[in-house]
Amino acid sequence: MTQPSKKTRRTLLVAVALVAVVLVAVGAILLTTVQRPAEKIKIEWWDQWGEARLLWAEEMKAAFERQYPEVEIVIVEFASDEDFKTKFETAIAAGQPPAVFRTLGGGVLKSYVDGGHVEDLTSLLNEEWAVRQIPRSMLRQSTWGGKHYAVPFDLWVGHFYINRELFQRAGVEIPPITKTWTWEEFKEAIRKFRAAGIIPIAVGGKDKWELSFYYMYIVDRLAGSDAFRKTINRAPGYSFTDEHWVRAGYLFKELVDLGAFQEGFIGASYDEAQSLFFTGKAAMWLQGPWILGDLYASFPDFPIDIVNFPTVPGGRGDPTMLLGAVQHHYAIAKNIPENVKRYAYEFMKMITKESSMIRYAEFSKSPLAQNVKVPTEQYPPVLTKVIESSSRASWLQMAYDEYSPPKFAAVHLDSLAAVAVGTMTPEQMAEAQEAVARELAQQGVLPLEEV
Amino acid sequence: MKRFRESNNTKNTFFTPQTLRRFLDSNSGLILSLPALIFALLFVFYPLVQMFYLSLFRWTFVSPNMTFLGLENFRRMFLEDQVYLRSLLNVALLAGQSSAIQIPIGIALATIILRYRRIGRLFWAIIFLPYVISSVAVSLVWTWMYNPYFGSVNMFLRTVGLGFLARPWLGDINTALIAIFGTVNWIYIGLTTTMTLATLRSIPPSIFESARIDGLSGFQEFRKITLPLLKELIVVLIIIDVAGAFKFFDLIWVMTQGGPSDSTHVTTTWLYRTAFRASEPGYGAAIGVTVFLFSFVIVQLLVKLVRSKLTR
Repeated sequence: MTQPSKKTRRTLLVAVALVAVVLVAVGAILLTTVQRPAEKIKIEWWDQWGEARLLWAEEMKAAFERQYPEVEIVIVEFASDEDFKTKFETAIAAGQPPAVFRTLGGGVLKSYVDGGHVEDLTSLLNEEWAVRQIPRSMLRQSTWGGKHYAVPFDLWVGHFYINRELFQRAGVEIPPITKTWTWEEFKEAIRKFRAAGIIPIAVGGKDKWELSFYYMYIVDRLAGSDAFRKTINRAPGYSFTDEHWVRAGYLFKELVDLGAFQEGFIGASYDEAQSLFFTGKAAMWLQGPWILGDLYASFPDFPIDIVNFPTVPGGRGDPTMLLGAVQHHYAIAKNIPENVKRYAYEFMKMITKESSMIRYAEFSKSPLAQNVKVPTEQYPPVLTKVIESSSRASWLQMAYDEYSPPKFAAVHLDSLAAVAVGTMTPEQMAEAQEAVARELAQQGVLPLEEV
Repeated sequence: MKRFRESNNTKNTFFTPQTLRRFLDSNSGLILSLPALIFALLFVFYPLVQMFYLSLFRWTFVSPNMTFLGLENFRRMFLEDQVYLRSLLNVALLAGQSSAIQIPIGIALATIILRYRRIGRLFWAIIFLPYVISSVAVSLVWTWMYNPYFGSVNMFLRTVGLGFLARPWLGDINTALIAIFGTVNWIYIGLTTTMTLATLRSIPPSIFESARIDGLSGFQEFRKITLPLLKELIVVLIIIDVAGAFKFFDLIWVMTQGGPSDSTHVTTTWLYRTAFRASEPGYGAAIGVTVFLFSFVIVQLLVKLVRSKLTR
């Protein structure tokens, strides 16, 4: 036998490459078309869990899989809300939505509903047990055209969380939760904290939504609870350039200029603000009850308490109103195979059972959005106070950036940060908000509901 | 055997081992690169076309309706979008400062490392380290270092008596970009040094020896011999810096998200923010198109420049 020539060898090489290409192609086709042996039905369950709620989810998963061994619940965890939104929207665009997913309701959910991606849960939520257990008022954020699209789980409300010890040190009296500071008293407290070398308020301005809390509270105190809903939904006679929108910007700026917030707050993350408050450098932090899980995990003896947001001079708003909303809802995707959807319904029923809800409250330490009695010893005292306060509230104002379409939310948050820094005036902010609201109305995105 | 083949050949001239062989031979280049080509088409070319297409529409990811806008997205970008224009400026600043700071320092460090070989090796390992660490981890660490209350940067300034310089670095519209540049340089100087070292080591030592025999001083040697030999490398480094500035994302996103008040956005962070936060993927794609065109043209020009300079 003679040695193969160079040419033969090259031909051989090329032939091998060709065969490889064909093999890969055939393999890829086989992989996508051929039915693989009976596999478990997978139900993906997406949420930005956090440690405590993840434990609850795992308990639910185990219970469901015990009852239905042919199903596997796949819990998918996201690090941040942004991460969740991005992946979720990409999954929808790719036609592969998760069967069961978390939503905060509002404009974001509405855009998914309008796109035809969310299952109509009206019949499920009108079943007898559901009517008894889930107050209809809690469905407001997930109902359009008389149809319900999500099951509400828990609530959040915004208070100033305070460090009692620092209040004592600065000689600031803590107002009872049934009373509200006036704007002057509030500013006086801020001055006292500053004089005592304590940061009055910690705020994470990098993510911008924390800044928005202040603006939203001030607007409500000034113009009442109708103002935002009417203006964003383009009710005749309402405009973002109305006087109170501008004034709210100035009152917010007044706090900034007074030094109410820590140095460099505009670049600080949520974690940095949290560190200032938890380590006793800042006296107050305007937040929701979700901070309590982390707080008790690291500082079980923290002298925590809550205080209401102050009233403003000449404001028409009802001071018992709170910033807050139904927070976590779960919804089912519309465009999934029928057999998966059937189990998704079963799963939804199981996690909404009364006993599951009590476990949810125990893990998450958050107030429930359903008529389920949670044994009070499961809650820390300050949370009981939060729940009582929210039951007295005349109105819960959903966060603007969750209620409104994403584009409006982006403009609102960006301009507010610019007002805080001073690169934009409150008038310019008002105009920017009005301009984008008009544009969205022209495109038919607004109004979100009839007002 | 041979006879059999020939007889076969006369019957069927279309498909024979010979024709197959000829086909494979004449197209071997194409066939061998086919696997890579398929992937490139699928994962580079197709998304690129998709991006151009998307940039002409208004759409949200979840909506079934796409509204055709023509070039409206581009008009809005260049005539109305202040943040976009600012982000272009920031990209230019980033590329400019990277070239102006990292390259001279990198070359200086490489020269020093070569001179003091024993300590140099250790020193080189240390300054190269930041480049190997995940950039998100680096960004988080630096975010805390710049923190006005817990951060080590201000603490250091106060201890050495420069307390008047202490400030909330990332929370001040005037210093946030400078602070980011500081971190960028800290990461990439190691890379520049390494590339310079590699180039310098490939220069035959006899050149330097003969220079010394000719009586050149250390500085003269650097200016007359080292620098000209590094010319090609410097251009390559500038290209890397320019292309890198257009691709830069993670560090800025983690450290400031483009804030405070949109002062630190680069084109990619602004693209991400509009496409995914404000749910305007069409507009985001339009930004992507301009980034593609700008970086393509600039890098092409630089490459042309190098070719003409080097062949002369």
